[in-house]
Amino acid sequence: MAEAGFSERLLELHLDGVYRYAFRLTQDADAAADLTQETMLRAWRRRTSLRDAAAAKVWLLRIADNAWNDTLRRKLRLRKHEEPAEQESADPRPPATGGVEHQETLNRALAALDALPDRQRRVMHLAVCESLPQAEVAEVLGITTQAVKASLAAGRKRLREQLQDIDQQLQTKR
Amino acid sequence: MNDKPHITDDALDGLLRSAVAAQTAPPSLRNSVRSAVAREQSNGSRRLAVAAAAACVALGWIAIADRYDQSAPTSVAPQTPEVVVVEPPTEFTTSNHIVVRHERVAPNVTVVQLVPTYESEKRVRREALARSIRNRVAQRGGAS
Repeated sequence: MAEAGFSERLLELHLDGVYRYAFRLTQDADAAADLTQETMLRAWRRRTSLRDAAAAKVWLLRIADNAWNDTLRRKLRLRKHEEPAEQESADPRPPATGGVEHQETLNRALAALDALPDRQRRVMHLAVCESLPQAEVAEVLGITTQAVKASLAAGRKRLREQLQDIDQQLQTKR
Repeated sequence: MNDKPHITDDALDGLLRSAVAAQTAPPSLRNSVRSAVAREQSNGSRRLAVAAAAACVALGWIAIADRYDQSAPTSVAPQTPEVVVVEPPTEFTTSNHIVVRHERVAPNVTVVQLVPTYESEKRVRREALARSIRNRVAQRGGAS
């Protein structure tokens, strides 16, 4: 079955990208895994709607974004009826892979990224971390290119302010 | 001039990319996505098989219902007024013939067989002639 093999290959290829974006949205490892699985299942069910395999990444990220928005809406509805529960989630930071100091720097960068307002965080992740062109970021988020530009500029400004001392460290290392 | 250290866009982007690059999907997630997709695939095939079976049953049911409708005595045939046909008598006689009804091919057309009655008169004459001859022979025999 050519279609199924093709789709499975495509899902496999973009799994990491979807998971990274899910992590950025949820800021929690377990929730990111759930969101990734939900995204892949939705994508599989709608696999015939993907016309161009080259656009698969944008298509998948858009599905992930919509799935997360659905989750947020559900949570919002539930919160109206339930008492706020004590949140206990896994450490959203990636596992240490380099030196302690370097890992500290990366964690600070991630923390600063995650502290951005929701739209700026999404735009920064898609445009910078996933290297998507601004038009594709706009397509994923369902906003205009102008709004992407504005969010990108605002996000960069805020991150520069928060990571000034990191830049100093980087410069002294050189 | 601003003496604050200023991180460039490229440095910032590089830093963010390095930080995020470490976040890859764990192998357990990869496996669970694979199995979820496989399950979805088999569910799809099962749904297809069930739909095909349902279609077969429906077609069979329609075929049986059609056949039943055709053979049912309560079919809705248009009712026509019943024409009472008065059958003519099977045979009757005219002056010269005996008419025997043979076959009815149409409501107004009946094939009949005409049996001429003169044959009977001939026979009577023939029998009378034979009787008179026999009488004469008997009379001659008695005289001699």
